[in-house]
Amino acid sequence: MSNKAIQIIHRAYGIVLSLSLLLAGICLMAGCLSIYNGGEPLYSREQVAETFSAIAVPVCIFPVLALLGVFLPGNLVVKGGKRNIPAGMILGKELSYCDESTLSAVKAEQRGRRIRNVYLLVLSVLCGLAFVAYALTTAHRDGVSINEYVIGCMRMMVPCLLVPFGFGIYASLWSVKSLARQWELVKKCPNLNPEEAAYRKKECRRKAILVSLAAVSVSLIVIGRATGGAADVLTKAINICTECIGLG
Amino acid sequence: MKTFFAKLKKLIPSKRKLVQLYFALLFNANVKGFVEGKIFRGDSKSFCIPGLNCYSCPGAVGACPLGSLQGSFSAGKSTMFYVFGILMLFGLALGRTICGWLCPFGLIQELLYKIKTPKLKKSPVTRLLSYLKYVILAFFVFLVPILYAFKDTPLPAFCKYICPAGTLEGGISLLSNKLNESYFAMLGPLFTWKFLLLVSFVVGCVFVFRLFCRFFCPLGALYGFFNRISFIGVQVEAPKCTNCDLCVHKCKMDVKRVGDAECISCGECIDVCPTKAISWKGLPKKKTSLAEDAAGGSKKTAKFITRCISAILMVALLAGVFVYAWNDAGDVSSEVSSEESSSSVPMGNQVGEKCYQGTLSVVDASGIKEETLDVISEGKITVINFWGTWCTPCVNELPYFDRIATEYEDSVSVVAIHTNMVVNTAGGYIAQHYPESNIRFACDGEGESYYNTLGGRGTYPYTVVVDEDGVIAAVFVKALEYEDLQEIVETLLAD
Repeated sequence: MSNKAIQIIHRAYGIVLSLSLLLAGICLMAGCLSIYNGGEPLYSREQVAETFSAIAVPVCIFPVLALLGVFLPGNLVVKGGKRNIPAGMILGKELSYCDESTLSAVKAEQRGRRIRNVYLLVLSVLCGLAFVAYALTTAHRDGVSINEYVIGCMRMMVPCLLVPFGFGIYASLWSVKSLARQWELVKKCPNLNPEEAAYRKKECRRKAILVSLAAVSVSLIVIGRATGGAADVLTKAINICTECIGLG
Repeated sequence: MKTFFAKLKKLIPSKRKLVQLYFALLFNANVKGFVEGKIFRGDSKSFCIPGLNCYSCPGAVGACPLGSLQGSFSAGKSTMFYVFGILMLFGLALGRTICGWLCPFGLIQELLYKIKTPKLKKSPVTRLLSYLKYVILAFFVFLVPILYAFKDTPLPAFCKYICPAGTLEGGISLLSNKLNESYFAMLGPLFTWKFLLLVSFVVGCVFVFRLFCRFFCPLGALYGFFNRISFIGVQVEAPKCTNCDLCVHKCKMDVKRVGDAECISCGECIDVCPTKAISWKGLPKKKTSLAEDAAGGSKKTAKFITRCISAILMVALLAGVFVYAWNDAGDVSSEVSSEESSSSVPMGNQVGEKCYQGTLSVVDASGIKEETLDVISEGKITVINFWGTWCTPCVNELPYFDRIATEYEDSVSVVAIHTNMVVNTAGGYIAQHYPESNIRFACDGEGESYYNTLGGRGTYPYTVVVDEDGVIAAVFVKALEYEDLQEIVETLLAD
């Protein structure tokens, strides 16, 4: 995958992340309005909880996307052979030819991008929890009317949305610049022995195939065991058909 | 003194031999089975062990991967997924390192090779012969069992016609126990063929290194596909390799290159390489002695402690498996075993003893029903046959029982008791083949309790014939022909 493609992906990710944040905001606003439009002078914690549980899924898309940012192309390092080698298929084949110091610098850039995505996730979860805690606890304060409650929720929503949104914008911009720096490092690194580079690429490919097939095999075992395959194996192992082992 | 110790040092087995011996003991930890001549029936047999170790071996605590693979074709998708998943996981994790380090039958072959005789060296002919195991894999392990699975008659062709591990570990181990004398009655041409094959392999292994592994083992062929990508194994670092082929000359297997599909990762080529290009993949790189000296005494102590702890854990694991197997033979006897005889004939499961009554769930074309039946019919001869849809000889002899049940309807009651495990397959089979039969089909109790009560030792088919007075007249551990059944029925009716 070329560096340009990776940058496009990071930019697109930033846009999708922002849109998901917008969606979360709209859902939260709609939740507040539905409580307000309930029209009852007294409202219960359960009513509030029910409303917010209905919008939990679209709101949770944002933190999930933030988590997925850790796994974007260009952010993962795969161990290969004797040394940590960024997976050639993720960062471009040129990286196979780089020396150790360049690889360390590239890894540092990748680590930075991953950490920022993790921070974004943690921040969004904390802000979300803060908002929910405010909404649930305000319900039981004496003398708080519905109007006041809803306005209070919307005021609380502003920082709870703006903070992760702002951090998300910063993280996306930083990622794009980090990728550009990374690309410069790769372009400037001295070439290694082509045989060594080819060996490294082969090791990466082997590891990738190994991990994929291992995941498939574990899935097969789990599915087979869950659907009674183990019972069949046990039956044949403990109830021996004598002819089947040559006693006949 | 020095020469004595030097000679003694030569006798100490290598690390690989010790590992092979350890795993051979671990996979066959059911010592009770050898003593009692019965196979282990615990839950651990739902998992396959990596090497070739027949599950009919009295000591086996796990299932054989090849036997399970062949059986899975007739069992259904879920079993195939499960067994394929296990085999793939073993192959990906270890590849043919399993052959070199874990397989009990591989150990037996290497021990036989140690006998001092002239040896057959590898050549282009042996290289060509090494492809034979792929043919055996394709034909006996896949093609034949799949074809027979379509005909509803399961046939593990490799296990039945070729596998020497089954003959040695299963057949001969069971037959050599005095308590299994009745098994000799079932031996015929098939056992003769397999016994001769086993003798050929044993003799051949003395002259040819790992004869069975190299030319005949389909499990090795299967794992060989994963050798290049497996996590653990021997690898050549191409940048360091000078293609001197010293490693290939040293190797006793038919490798073209270290780490290919024929390589069993024994590691003997590692020290031979002049450029140190061969190493283990997936394992931490061994430090040189200089590096260790530089690290200092504390690291040496830590290493020693780690080794001691590992050894203790390994011994504890082995002991744990021994104890588990000893305590959990998996046999459950029916509640009727406490039944007492009202006559002078004692209750039991031997010929001449009064047979225990059993009340079992009825099975018909629609599956297991809530209604029950009494196995022994008073005033009638009762033929009790224990069977399973997965057991080919059981399925092949059912028509004879059906015929007996029809021809002697007034005086003989035939009860066919399916194993409690996977009894869900019985309904469909009965619906397809015996919708209007006079046979009374039933399902055994939990843990095959009635089968155990009547003296079953884990082998199928198993038939018990009970006379009109409820006394056991005959017990058969082999598949029966119509003539055998007719003879015993006519004899009892004449009496």
